[in-house]
Amino acid sequence: MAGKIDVFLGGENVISPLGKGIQETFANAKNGKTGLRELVQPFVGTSRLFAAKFEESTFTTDSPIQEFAAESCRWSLGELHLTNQLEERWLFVLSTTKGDINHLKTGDLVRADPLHLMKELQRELPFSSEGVVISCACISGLSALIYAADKIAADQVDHALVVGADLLSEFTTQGFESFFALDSGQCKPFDETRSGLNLGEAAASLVLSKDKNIFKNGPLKYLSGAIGNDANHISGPSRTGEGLYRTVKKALKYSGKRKEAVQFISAHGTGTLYNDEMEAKAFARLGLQYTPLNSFKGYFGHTLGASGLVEIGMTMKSLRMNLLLKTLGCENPGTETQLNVLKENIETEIRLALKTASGFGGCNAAVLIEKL
Amino acid sequence: MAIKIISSCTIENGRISVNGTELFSLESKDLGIFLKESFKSLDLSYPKFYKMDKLCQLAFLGSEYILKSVHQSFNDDEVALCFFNGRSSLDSDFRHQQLINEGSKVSPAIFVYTLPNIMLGEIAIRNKWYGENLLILKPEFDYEEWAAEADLLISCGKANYCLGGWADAYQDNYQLHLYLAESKKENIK
Repeated sequence: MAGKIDVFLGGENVISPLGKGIQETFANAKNGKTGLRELVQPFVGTSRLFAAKFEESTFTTDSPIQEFAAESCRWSLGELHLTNQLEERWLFVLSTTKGDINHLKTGDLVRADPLHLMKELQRELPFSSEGVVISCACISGLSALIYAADKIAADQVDHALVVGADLLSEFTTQGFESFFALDSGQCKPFDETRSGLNLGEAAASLVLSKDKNIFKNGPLKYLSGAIGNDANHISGPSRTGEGLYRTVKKALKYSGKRKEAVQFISAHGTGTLYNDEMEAKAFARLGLQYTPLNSFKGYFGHTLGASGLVEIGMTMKSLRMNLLLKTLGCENPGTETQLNVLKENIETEIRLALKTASGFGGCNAAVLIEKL
Repeated sequence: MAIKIISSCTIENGRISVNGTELFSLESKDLGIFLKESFKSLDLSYPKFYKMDKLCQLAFLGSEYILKSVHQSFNDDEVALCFFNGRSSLDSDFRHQQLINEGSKVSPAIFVYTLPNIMLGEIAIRNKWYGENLLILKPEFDYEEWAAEADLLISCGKANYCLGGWADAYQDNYQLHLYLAESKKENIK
Protein backbone atom coordinates (compact mmCIF):
# COMPACT_ATOMS: atom_id res chain seq x y z
CA MET A 1 0.00 0.00 0.00
CA ALA A 2 1.26 3.38 -1.03
CA GLY A 3 1.54 5.10 2.37
CA LYS A 4 5.16 5.32 3.38
CA ILE A 5 4.61 6.04 7.05
CA ASP A 6 3.60 3.33 9.51
CA VAL A 7 0.42 4.03 11.46
CA PHE A 8 -0.04 2.94 15.07
CA LEU A 9 -3.27 2.61 17.04
CA GLY A 10 -3.91 2.91 20.73
CA GLY A 11 -5.83 4.65 23.48
CA GLU A 12 -8.95 2.73 22.52
CA ASN A 13 -11.94 3.49 24.68
CA VAL A 14 -15.64 2.72 24.86
CA ILE A 15 -18.31 4.47 26.90
CA SER A 16 -21.59 2.61 26.72
CA PRO A 17 -24.44 1.36 28.89
CA LEU A 18 -22.32 -1.79 29.37
CA GLY A 19 -19.55 0.10 31.09
CA LYS A 20 -17.65 3.28 31.54
CA GLY A 21 -14.28 2.96 29.89
CA ILE A 22 -12.72 0.07 28.01
CA GLN A 23 -11.52 -1.84 31.12
CA GLU A 24 -14.93 -2.03 32.75
CA THR A 25 -16.65 -2.61 29.42
CA PHE A 26 -14.37 -5.48 28.41
CA ALA A 27 -14.53 -7.06 31.88
CA ASN A 28 -18.34 -6.93 31.83
CA ALA A 29 -18.47 -8.40 28.34
CA LYS A 30 -16.04 -11.13 29.37
CA ASN A 31 -18.43 -12.05 32.19
CA GLY A 32 -21.30 -12.32 29.73
CA LYS A 33 -23.04 -9.10 30.74
CA THR A 34 -24.85 -6.92 28.24
CA GLY A 35 -25.83 -3.27 28.05
CA LEU A 36 -29.10 -4.29 26.42
CA ARG A 37 -32.33 -4.41 28.42
CA GLU A 38 -36.03 -3.93 27.99
CA LEU A 39 -36.98 -0.26 28.09
CA VAL A 40 -40.54 0.66 28.96
CA GLN A 41 -41.99 3.59 27.03
CA PRO A 42 -38.62 4.99 25.93
CA PHE A 43 -40.44 7.28 23.50
CA VAL A 44 -44.01 8.49 23.19
CA GLY A 45 -44.98 6.10 20.40
CA THR A 46 -42.91 3.13 21.60
CA SER A 47 -44.25 1.10 24.52
CA ARG A 48 -41.41 -1.43 24.77
CA LEU A 49 -37.98 -1.60 23.22
CA PHE A 50 -35.05 -3.92 23.75
CA ALA A 51 -32.06 -1.61 23.48
CA ALA A 52 -28.97 -0.21 25.17
CA LYS A 53 -29.55 3.18 26.77
CA PHE A 54 -27.69 5.15 29.41
CA GLU A 55 -29.59 6.03 32.59
CA GLU A 56 -30.93 9.59 32.24
CA SER A 57 -29.36 10.54 35.56
CA THR A 58 -25.90 9.97 34.08
CA PHE A 59 -25.99 13.36 32.40
CA THR A 60 -26.15 16.93 33.56
CA THR A 61 -26.83 18.81 30.31
CA ASP A 62 -29.41 18.52 27.54
CA SER A 63 -26.76 17.01 25.26
CA PRO A 64 -25.87 13.53 26.55
CA ILE A 65 -24.12 12.65 23.29
CA GLN A 66 -21.74 15.56 23.70
CA GLU A 67 -21.06 14.49 27.28
CA PHE A 68 -20.31 10.84 26.58
CA ALA A 69 -18.38 11.55 23.37
CA ALA A 70 -16.26 14.16 25.14
CA GLU A 71 -15.64 11.77 28.01
CA SER A 72 -14.46 9.08 25.63
CA CYS A 73 -12.07 11.55 23.97
CA ARG A 74 -10.63 12.50 27.38
CA TRP A 75 -10.03 8.83 28.25
CA SER A 76 -8.26 8.22 24.95
CA LEU A 77 -6.06 11.28 25.35
CA GLY A 78 -5.31 10.22 28.93
CA GLU A 79 -3.61 7.15 27.44
CA LEU A 80 -0.99 9.28 25.71
CA HIS A 81 2.32 10.85 26.65
CA LEU A 82 1.77 14.32 25.30
CA THR A 83 4.55 16.87 25.31
CA ASN A 84 5.83 18.42 22.12
CA GLN A 85 3.32 16.37 20.12
CA LEU A 86 0.72 18.92 21.14
CA GLU A 87 2.34 21.29 18.66
CA GLU A 88 2.25 18.79 15.79
CA ARG A 89 -0.40 18.32 13.10
CA TRP A 90 -3.58 16.81 14.58
CA LEU A 91 -6.68 15.58 12.87
CA PHE A 92 -9.94 15.21 14.77
CA VAL A 93 -12.62 13.02 13.20
CA LEU A 94 -16.16 12.59 14.47
CA SER A 95 -17.98 9.58 13.09
CA THR A 96 -21.73 9.75 13.46
CA THR A 97 -24.86 8.94 11.53
CA LYS A 98 -27.21 11.41 13.20
CA GLY A 99 -25.26 13.43 15.79
CA ASP A 100 -27.44 15.19 18.36
CA ILE A 101 -30.60 14.24 16.48
CA ASN A 102 -32.98 14.78 19.40
CA HIS A 103 -32.73 18.51 18.76
CA LEU A 104 -34.41 18.06 15.39
CA LYS A 105 -37.67 17.35 17.16
CA THR A 106 -37.77 20.85 18.61
CA GLY A 107 -36.55 22.40 15.37
CA ASP A 108 -33.14 23.39 16.72
CA LEU A 109 -31.32 22.85 13.44
CA VAL A 110 -28.05 24.29 14.70
CA ARG A 111 -27.65 21.79 17.50
CA ALA A 112 -29.02 18.93 15.42
CA ASP A 113 -26.20 19.51 12.91
CA PRO A 114 -23.36 16.96 13.35
CA LEU A 115 -20.86 19.69 12.47
CA HIS A 116 -21.97 21.58 15.55
CA LEU A 117 -21.32 18.54 17.75
CA MET A 118 -17.89 18.07 16.17
CA LYS A 119 -16.95 21.71 16.86
CA GLU A 120 -18.15 21.51 20.46
CA LEU A 121 -16.00 18.40 21.02
CA GLN A 122 -13.05 19.89 19.16
CA ARG A 123 -13.07 22.97 21.39
CA GLU A 124 -12.24 20.84 24.43
CA LEU A 125 -9.15 19.26 22.90
CA PRO A 126 -5.72 20.26 24.25
CA PHE A 127 -4.30 20.79 20.75
CA SER A 128 -5.43 22.65 17.67
CA SER A 129 -6.72 20.34 14.96
CA GLU A 130 -8.37 20.02 11.62
CA GLY A 131 -11.91 18.82 12.33
CA VAL A 132 -13.92 16.53 10.09
CA VAL A 133 -17.27 14.73 10.31
CA ILE A 134 -17.62 11.43 8.50
CA SER A 135 -21.15 10.14 8.04
CA CYS A 136 -21.39 6.94 6.04
CA ALA A 137 -24.18 4.99 7.75
CA CYS A 138 -23.04 1.96 9.74
CA ILE A 139 -19.49 1.96 8.36
CA SER A 140 -18.89 5.53 9.59
CA GLY A 141 -16.56 4.42 12.40
CA LEU A 142 -14.30 2.36 10.16
CA SER A 143 -14.50 4.95 7.41
CA ALA A 144 -13.26 7.59 9.90
CA LEU A 145 -10.46 5.29 11.04
CA ILE A 146 -9.34 4.54 7.48
CA TYR A 147 -9.56 8.21 6.55
CA ALA A 148 -7.31 9.19 9.47
CA ALA A 149 -4.85 6.36 8.78
CA ASP A 150 -4.51 7.31 5.12
CA LYS A 151 -3.81 10.93 6.12
CA ILE A 152 -1.05 9.86 8.49
CA ALA A 153 0.42 7.36 6.01
CA ALA A 154 0.58 10.13 3.40
CA ASP A 155 2.31 12.46 5.88
CA GLN A 156 -0.53 14.99 5.81
CA VAL A 157 -1.03 14.82 9.58
CA ASP A 158 1.00 13.37 12.47
CA HIS A 159 -1.71 12.17 14.83
CA ALA A 160 -5.45 11.72 14.81
CA LEU A 161 -8.13 11.41 17.45
CA VAL A 162 -11.14 9.56 16.09
CA VAL A 163 -14.40 9.39 18.01
CA GLY A 164 -17.67 7.77 17.05
CA ALA A 165 -20.96 8.54 18.75
CA ASP A 166 -24.67 8.06 18.22
CA LEU A 167 -27.76 8.23 20.39
CA LEU A 168 -30.58 5.81 20.92
CA SER A 169 -33.22 8.12 19.48
CA GLU A 170 -36.87 8.06 18.65
CA PHE A 171 -35.80 9.07 15.14
CA THR A 172 -33.76 5.95 14.39
CA THR A 173 -35.90 3.60 16.49
CA GLN A 174 -39.04 4.44 14.56
CA GLY A 175 -37.14 4.17 11.29
CA PHE A 176 -35.77 0.70 12.01
CA GLU A 177 -39.18 -0.35 13.33
CA SER A 178 -40.73 0.63 10.01
CA PHE A 179 -38.33 -1.83 8.37
CA PHE A 180 -39.40 -4.54 10.87
CA ALA A 181 -35.68 -4.85 11.58
CA LEU A 182 -35.82 -4.86 15.40
CA ASP A 183 -35.82 -7.93 17.62
CA SER A 184 -38.22 -7.51 20.55
CA GLY A 185 -35.77 -9.43 22.78
CA GLN A 186 -32.00 -9.89 22.91
CA CYS A 187 -30.55 -9.95 19.37
CA LYS A 188 -29.03 -13.25 18.23
CA PRO A 189 -26.33 -12.54 15.64
CA PHE A 190 -25.63 -15.49 13.31
CA ASP A 191 -28.07 -17.70 15.23
CA GLU A 192 -30.50 -19.90 13.33
CA THR A 193 -33.43 -18.15 15.05
CA ARG A 194 -32.12 -14.60 14.70
CA SER A 195 -34.91 -12.15 13.98
CA GLY A 196 -33.53 -8.65 14.03
CA LEU A 197 -31.20 -6.14 15.60
CA ASN A 198 -31.22 -4.10 18.81
CA LEU A 199 -30.27 -0.45 18.79
CA GLY A 200 -27.88 1.12 21.26
CA GLU A 201 -26.07 4.29 22.13
CA ALA A 202 -22.37 4.66 22.82
CA ALA A 203 -19.22 6.57 22.11
CA ALA A 204 -15.87 5.05 21.28
CA SER A 205 -12.56 6.64 20.49
CA LEU A 206 -8.96 5.88 19.70
CA VAL A 207 -5.78 7.60 18.63
CA LEU A 208 -3.78 6.97 15.48
CA SER A 209 -0.23 8.16 15.23
CA LYS A 210 2.97 7.89 13.23
CA ASP A 211 4.77 7.90 16.60
CA LYS A 212 4.47 4.67 18.58
CA ASN A 213 6.07 6.23 21.65
CA ILE A 214 3.10 8.51 22.14
CA PHE A 215 1.11 5.63 23.66
CA LYS A 216 1.50 4.80 27.36
CA ASN A 217 0.23 1.29 26.71
CA GLY A 218 1.94 -0.38 23.74
CA PRO A 219 0.14 0.39 20.48
CA LEU A 220 -1.05 -1.96 17.76
CA LYS A 221 -0.24 -1.54 14.12
CA TYR A 222 -2.78 -0.46 11.53
CA LEU A 223 -2.14 -2.63 8.48
CA SER A 224 -4.75 -1.56 5.96
CA GLY A 225 -8.30 -0.49 5.36
CA ALA A 226 -10.66 -0.55 2.42
CA ILE A 227 -14.19 0.50 1.56
CA GLY A 228 -16.43 -0.75 -1.21
CA ASN A 229 -20.02 -0.61 -2.36
CA ASP A 230 -22.42 -3.48 -3.09
CA ALA A 231 -23.75 -1.62 -6.15
CA ASN A 232 -26.92 -3.54 -5.47
CA HIS A 233 -29.53 -1.95 -3.21
CA ILE A 234 -29.71 1.05 -0.85
CA SER A 235 -31.23 -0.80 2.12
CA GLY A 236 -31.05 -4.54 1.39
CA PRO A 237 -27.78 -6.43 1.85
CA SER A 238 -26.33 -8.06 -1.24
CA ARG A 239 -27.47 -11.68 -1.68
CA THR A 240 -24.00 -12.74 -2.76
CA GLY A 241 -21.87 -10.68 -0.38
CA GLU A 242 -20.05 -9.28 -3.41
CA GLY A 243 -19.34 -5.84 -1.93
CA LEU A 244 -18.00 -7.15 1.37
CA TYR A 245 -16.05 -9.88 -0.44
CA ARG A 246 -14.32 -7.35 -2.66
CA THR A 247 -13.72 -4.97 0.24
CA VAL A 248 -11.97 -7.57 2.40
CA LYS A 249 -9.99 -8.72 -0.64
CA LYS A 250 -8.76 -5.16 -1.17
CA ALA A 251 -7.82 -4.76 2.50
CA LEU A 252 -5.83 -8.00 2.35
CA LYS A 253 -4.11 -6.86 -0.85
CA TYR A 254 -3.17 -3.48 0.64
CA SER A 255 -1.75 -5.15 3.75
CA GLY A 256 0.31 -7.67 1.77
CA LYS A 257 -1.08 -10.40 4.05
CA ARG A 258 -2.61 -13.70 3.01
CA LYS A 259 -6.02 -14.69 4.28
CA GLU A 260 -4.40 -17.42 6.38
CA ALA A 261 -2.82 -14.71 8.52
CA VAL A 262 -6.24 -13.56 9.79
CA GLN A 263 -6.78 -15.17 13.20
CA PHE A 264 -9.96 -13.44 14.27
CA ILE A 265 -12.83 -11.62 12.59
CA SER A 266 -14.96 -9.06 14.38
CA ALA A 267 -17.92 -9.12 12.01
CA HIS A 268 -20.76 -6.63 11.66
CA GLY A 269 -23.31 -9.28 12.74
CA THR A 270 -26.41 -7.20 13.40
CA GLY A 271 -28.73 -10.14 13.94
CA THR A 272 -30.96 -9.53 10.93
CA LEU A 273 -31.67 -12.47 8.68
CA TYR A 274 -30.18 -10.98 5.54
CA ASN A 275 -27.19 -9.09 6.89
CA ASP A 276 -25.75 -12.07 8.69
CA GLU A 277 -26.32 -14.36 5.72
CA MET A 278 -24.64 -11.85 3.42
CA GLU A 279 -21.59 -11.78 5.69
CA ALA A 280 -21.49 -15.58 5.89
CA LYS A 281 -21.47 -15.79 2.09
CA ALA A 282 -18.74 -13.18 1.76
CA PHE A 283 -16.46 -14.76 4.39
CA ALA A 284 -16.94 -18.24 2.94
CA ARG A 285 -16.06 -16.94 -0.54
CA LEU A 286 -12.94 -15.43 0.99
CA GLY A 287 -12.00 -18.79 2.52
CA LEU A 288 -12.45 -17.35 6.01
CA GLN A 289 -15.32 -19.61 7.10
CA TYR A 290 -13.12 -21.48 9.60
CA THR A 291 -11.59 -18.35 11.15
CA PRO A 292 -12.94 -17.61 14.66
CA LEU A 293 -15.52 -14.89 14.31
CA ASN A 294 -17.81 -12.94 16.58
CA SER A 295 -20.30 -10.12 16.62
CA PHE A 296 -20.21 -7.65 19.52
CA LYS A 297 -23.78 -6.47 18.87
CA GLY A 298 -25.19 -8.63 21.69
CA TYR A 299 -23.22 -6.55 24.21
CA PHE A 300 -23.92 -3.05 22.89
CA GLY A 301 -26.72 -3.30 20.37
CA HIS A 302 -26.12 -1.62 17.05
CA THR A 303 -24.58 1.72 17.94
CA LEU A 304 -24.58 2.93 14.31
CA GLY A 305 -21.91 5.59 13.77
CA ALA A 306 -20.11 4.47 16.92
CA SER A 307 -20.27 0.73 16.19
CA GLY A 308 -17.15 0.39 14.02
CA LEU A 309 -15.05 2.12 16.69
CA VAL A 310 -16.73 0.34 19.62
CA GLU A 311 -16.01 -2.98 17.98
CA ILE A 312 -12.47 -2.24 16.85
CA GLY A 313 -11.77 -1.01 20.39
CA MET A 314 -13.04 -4.35 21.73
CA THR A 315 -11.00 -6.16 19.10
CA MET A 316 -7.86 -4.28 20.14
CA LYS A 317 -8.52 -5.24 23.73
CA SER A 318 -9.03 -8.86 22.66
CA LEU A 319 -5.63 -8.82 20.98
CA ARG A 320 -4.01 -7.29 24.03
CA MET A 321 -5.62 -9.82 26.39
CA ASN A 322 -5.36 -12.82 24.04
CA LEU A 323 -9.02 -13.39 24.75
CA LEU A 324 -11.69 -13.76 22.10
CA LEU A 325 -15.23 -13.06 23.28
CA LYS A 326 -18.24 -15.13 22.37
CA THR A 327 -21.10 -13.86 20.24
CA LEU A 328 -23.55 -13.06 23.00
CA GLY A 329 -27.04 -14.17 21.97
CA CYS A 330 -25.90 -16.80 19.51
CA GLU A 331 -26.57 -20.33 20.74
CA ASN A 332 -26.91 -22.28 17.52
CA PRO A 333 -25.12 -20.67 14.61
CA GLY A 334 -27.47 -20.98 11.69
CA THR A 335 -26.51 -19.07 8.63
CA GLU A 336 -27.01 -21.11 5.46
CA THR A 337 -23.33 -20.77 4.77
CA GLN A 338 -21.50 -21.93 7.88
CA LEU A 339 -19.06 -19.84 9.84
CA ASN A 340 -16.86 -20.46 12.88
CA VAL A 341 -18.98 -18.31 15.22
CA LEU A 342 -17.52 -18.07 18.73
CA LYS A 343 -20.05 -19.46 21.21
CA GLU A 344 -17.68 -19.38 24.18
CA ASN A 345 -14.85 -17.09 25.20
CA ILE A 346 -11.51 -18.48 24.08
CA GLU A 347 -8.08 -17.69 25.45
CA THR A 348 -5.67 -17.86 22.57
CA GLU A 349 -2.64 -16.01 21.31
CA ILE A 350 -3.71 -13.82 18.38
CA ARG A 351 -1.68 -11.36 16.40
CA LEU A 352 -3.81 -10.26 13.50
CA ALA A 353 -7.49 -9.38 13.31
CA LEU A 354 -9.98 -8.29 10.69
CA LYS A 355 -12.81 -5.91 11.50
CA THR A 356 -15.65 -5.40 9.03
CA ALA A 357 -18.84 -3.38 8.81
CA SER A 358 -21.63 -2.97 6.30
CA GLY A 359 -24.38 -0.42 6.04
CA PHE A 360 -27.25 1.30 4.28
CA GLY A 361 -26.27 2.72 0.94
CA GLY A 362 -24.58 -0.61 0.19
CA CYS A 363 -21.33 0.39 1.85
CA ASN A 364 -18.80 -2.05 3.33
CA ALA A 365 -15.56 -1.47 5.21
CA ALA A 366 -12.69 -3.72 6.28
CA VAL A 367 -9.72 -2.97 8.52
CA LEU A 368 -6.74 -5.17 9.40
CA ILE A 369 -4.78 -4.59 12.59
CA GLU A 370 -1.82 -6.42 14.07
CA LYS A 371 0.10 -6.70 17.30
CA LEU A 372 3.60 -5.29 17.21
CA MET B 1 -2.13 19.10 -7.15
CA ALA B 2 -1.57 15.78 -8.83
CA ILE B 3 -5.05 15.35 -10.24
CA LYS B 4 -6.55 16.46 -13.49
CA ILE B 5 -10.23 17.26 -13.91
CA ILE B 6 -11.73 15.36 -16.83
CA SER B 7 -15.16 16.90 -16.54
CA SER B 8 -17.22 19.01 -14.15
CA CYS B 9 -20.86 19.79 -13.57
CA THR B 10 -22.55 22.60 -11.67
CA ILE B 11 -26.20 22.72 -10.71
CA GLU B 12 -27.48 25.87 -9.02
CA ASN B 13 -29.98 28.67 -9.51
CA GLY B 14 -32.08 26.65 -11.94
CA ARG B 15 -29.17 25.90 -14.27
CA ILE B 16 -27.14 22.85 -15.14
CA SER B 17 -23.72 23.44 -16.70
CA VAL B 18 -21.15 20.91 -17.80
CA ASN B 19 -17.59 22.14 -18.29
CA GLY B 20 -18.91 25.71 -18.23
CA THR B 21 -21.56 25.19 -20.90
CA GLU B 22 -25.18 25.53 -19.86
CA LEU B 23 -27.13 22.41 -20.87
CA PHE B 24 -30.40 22.91 -19.07
CA SER B 25 -32.24 25.70 -17.32
CA LEU B 26 -35.65 26.07 -15.78
CA GLU B 27 -37.09 28.95 -13.80
CA SER B 28 -38.82 27.18 -10.94
CA LYS B 29 -38.74 27.91 -7.27
CA ASP B 30 -39.74 24.32 -6.61
CA LEU B 31 -36.66 22.09 -6.43
CA GLY B 32 -38.74 18.93 -6.92
CA ILE B 33 -40.05 20.22 -10.26
CA PHE B 34 -36.63 21.39 -11.37
CA LEU B 35 -35.05 18.01 -10.63
CA LYS B 36 -37.77 16.06 -12.42
CA GLU B 37 -37.72 18.29 -15.50
CA SER B 38 -33.96 18.15 -15.79
CA PHE B 39 -34.10 14.38 -15.43
CA LYS B 40 -36.57 14.23 -18.33
CA SER B 41 -34.16 16.23 -20.45
CA LEU B 42 -31.61 13.41 -20.05
CA ASP B 43 -34.06 11.11 -21.84
CA LEU B 44 -33.15 8.22 -19.60
CA SER B 45 -35.25 5.29 -18.53
CA TYR B 46 -34.42 4.85 -14.85
CA PRO B 47 -37.57 4.61 -12.71
CA LYS B 48 -35.53 4.43 -9.48
CA PHE B 49 -34.91 8.16 -9.88
CA TYR B 50 -38.47 8.89 -8.79
CA LYS B 51 -38.02 7.02 -5.52
CA MET B 52 -34.98 9.06 -4.51
CA ASP B 53 -35.06 12.06 -2.21
CA LYS B 54 -33.99 15.46 -3.51
CA LEU B 55 -30.39 15.17 -2.37
CA CYS B 56 -29.95 11.85 -4.16
CA GLN B 57 -31.75 13.14 -7.26
CA LEU B 58 -29.43 16.12 -7.36
CA ALA B 59 -26.27 14.03 -6.96
CA PHE B 60 -27.56 11.44 -9.43
CA LEU B 61 -28.25 14.12 -12.06
CA GLY B 62 -24.80 15.62 -11.60
CA SER B 63 -23.16 12.24 -12.06
CA GLU B 64 -25.26 11.46 -15.15
CA TYR B 65 -24.45 14.77 -16.81
CA ILE B 66 -20.75 14.30 -16.12
CA LEU B 67 -20.61 10.70 -17.33
CA LYS B 68 -22.58 11.58 -20.46
CA SER B 69 -19.96 14.20 -21.28
CA VAL B 70 -16.94 11.92 -21.11
CA HIS B 71 -17.79 8.98 -23.41
CA GLN B 72 -15.61 6.71 -21.38
CA SER B 73 -16.16 3.37 -19.71
CA PHE B 74 -14.68 2.41 -16.37
CA ASN B 75 -13.76 -0.80 -14.64
CA ASP B 76 -16.25 -1.58 -11.90
CA ASP B 77 -13.79 -0.97 -9.06
CA GLU B 78 -11.66 1.94 -10.20
CA VAL B 79 -13.87 4.95 -9.50
CA ALA B 80 -13.92 6.33 -5.95
CA LEU B 81 -16.97 8.33 -4.92
CA CYS B 82 -15.96 11.15 -2.60
CA PHE B 83 -18.64 13.63 -1.64
CA PHE B 84 -18.74 16.64 0.64
CA ASN B 85 -22.11 17.78 1.88
CA GLY B 86 -23.26 20.55 4.19
CA ARG B 87 -26.57 19.77 5.79
CA SER B 88 -26.38 16.00 5.66
CA SER B 89 -29.74 14.43 4.79
CA LEU B 90 -31.67 17.21 6.57
CA ASP B 91 -34.41 17.39 3.94
CA SER B 92 -35.40 13.75 4.48
CA ASP B 93 -34.62 13.96 8.21
CA PHE B 94 -37.17 16.73 8.44
CA ARG B 95 -39.85 14.73 6.63
CA HIS B 96 -39.23 11.68 8.82
CA GLN B 97 -39.28 13.81 11.99
CA GLN B 98 -42.49 15.50 10.90
CA LEU B 99 -44.27 12.15 10.67
CA ILE B 100 -43.03 11.31 14.17
CA ASN B 101 -44.16 14.68 15.53
CA GLU B 102 -47.61 14.22 13.98
CA GLY B 103 -47.88 10.74 15.49
CA SER B 104 -48.21 9.31 11.95
CA LYS B 105 -46.74 6.05 10.74
CA VAL B 106 -43.20 6.64 9.52
CA SER B 107 -42.20 5.43 6.09
CA PRO B 108 -39.21 3.19 5.37
CA ALA B 109 -39.07 4.82 1.92
CA ILE B 110 -38.32 8.15 3.62
CA PHE B 111 -36.23 6.79 6.50
CA VAL B 112 -33.74 5.08 4.20
CA TYR B 113 -32.81 8.51 2.82
CA THR B 114 -32.00 9.95 6.26
CA LEU B 115 -28.31 9.24 5.67
CA PRO B 116 -26.14 11.43 3.42
CA ASN B 117 -24.16 8.54 1.94
CA ILE B 118 -27.23 7.07 0.25
CA MET B 119 -26.50 9.28 -2.74
CA LEU B 120 -23.20 7.43 -3.19
CA GLY B 121 -25.13 4.16 -3.09
CA GLU B 122 -27.52 5.39 -5.78
CA ILE B 123 -24.65 6.33 -8.07
CA ALA B 124 -22.85 3.05 -7.34
CA ILE B 125 -26.01 1.06 -8.16
CA ARG B 126 -26.65 3.00 -11.36
CA ASN B 127 -23.11 2.43 -12.65
CA LYS B 128 -22.42 -0.96 -11.01
CA TRP B 129 -19.43 0.50 -9.25
CA TYR B 130 -17.92 -1.43 -6.33
CA GLY B 131 -15.20 1.11 -5.55
CA GLU B 132 -14.36 3.36 -2.61
CA ASN B 133 -16.98 5.58 -0.90
CA LEU B 134 -16.24 8.58 1.29
CA LEU B 135 -18.76 11.07 2.67
CA ILE B 136 -17.57 14.09 4.65
CA LEU B 137 -19.74 16.81 6.17
CA LYS B 138 -18.33 20.30 5.71
CA PRO B 139 -19.76 23.72 6.53
CA GLU B 140 -19.19 24.87 2.94
CA PHE B 141 -17.51 23.70 -0.22
CA ASP B 142 -13.82 24.31 -0.81
CA TYR B 143 -12.61 22.87 -4.10
CA GLU B 144 -8.99 22.64 -2.93
CA GLU B 145 -10.03 20.53 0.05
CA TRP B 146 -11.99 18.20 -2.19
CA ALA B 147 -9.12 17.95 -4.70
CA ALA B 148 -6.79 16.99 -1.84
CA GLU B 149 -9.10 14.10 -0.85
CA ALA B 150 -9.45 12.96 -4.46
CA ASP B 151 -5.69 13.15 -4.86
CA LEU B 152 -5.13 11.04 -1.75
CA LEU B 153 -7.60 8.34 -2.85
CA ILE B 154 -5.89 8.13 -6.24
CA SER B 155 -2.28 8.52 -5.14
CA CYS B 156 -2.52 5.90 -2.38
CA GLY B 157 -3.71 3.42 -4.98
CA LYS B 158 -7.34 3.03 -3.92
CA ALA B 159 -8.79 4.34 -7.18
CA ASN B 160 -7.82 5.45 -10.66
CA TYR B 161 -10.60 8.02 -10.87
CA CYS B 162 -12.56 10.03 -8.36
CA LEU B 163 -16.09 11.28 -8.91
CA GLY B 164 -17.51 13.69 -6.40
CA GLY B 165 -17.41 17.17 -4.98
CA TRP B 166 -20.26 18.98 -3.31
CA ALA B 167 -23.95 18.06 -3.20
CA ASP B 168 -26.28 19.82 -0.82
CA ALA B 169 -30.06 20.15 -0.76
CA TYR B 170 -32.52 21.32 1.84
CA GLN B 171 -36.11 22.27 1.00
CA ASP B 172 -35.81 24.43 -2.13
CA ASN B 173 -32.17 25.39 -1.58
CA TYR B 174 -29.57 23.37 -3.38
CA GLN B 175 -26.10 23.46 -4.83
CA LEU B 176 -23.98 20.93 -6.68
CA HIS B 177 -20.39 21.06 -7.90
CA LEU B 178 -19.23 17.71 -9.17
CA TYR B 179 -15.96 16.67 -10.75
CA LEU B 180 -14.52 13.62 -12.38
CA ALA B 181 -10.80 13.52 -11.67
CA GLU B 182 -7.91 11.31 -12.66
CA SER B 183 -4.21 11.22 -11.90
CA LYS B 184 -2.24 13.96 -13.61
CA LYS B 185 0.91 11.91 -14.07
CA GLU B 186 -0.30 9.41 -16.60
CA ASN B 187 -3.35 8.48 -18.52
CA ILE B 188 -4.38 5.20 -17.00
CA LYS B 189 -5.87 2.97 -19.58
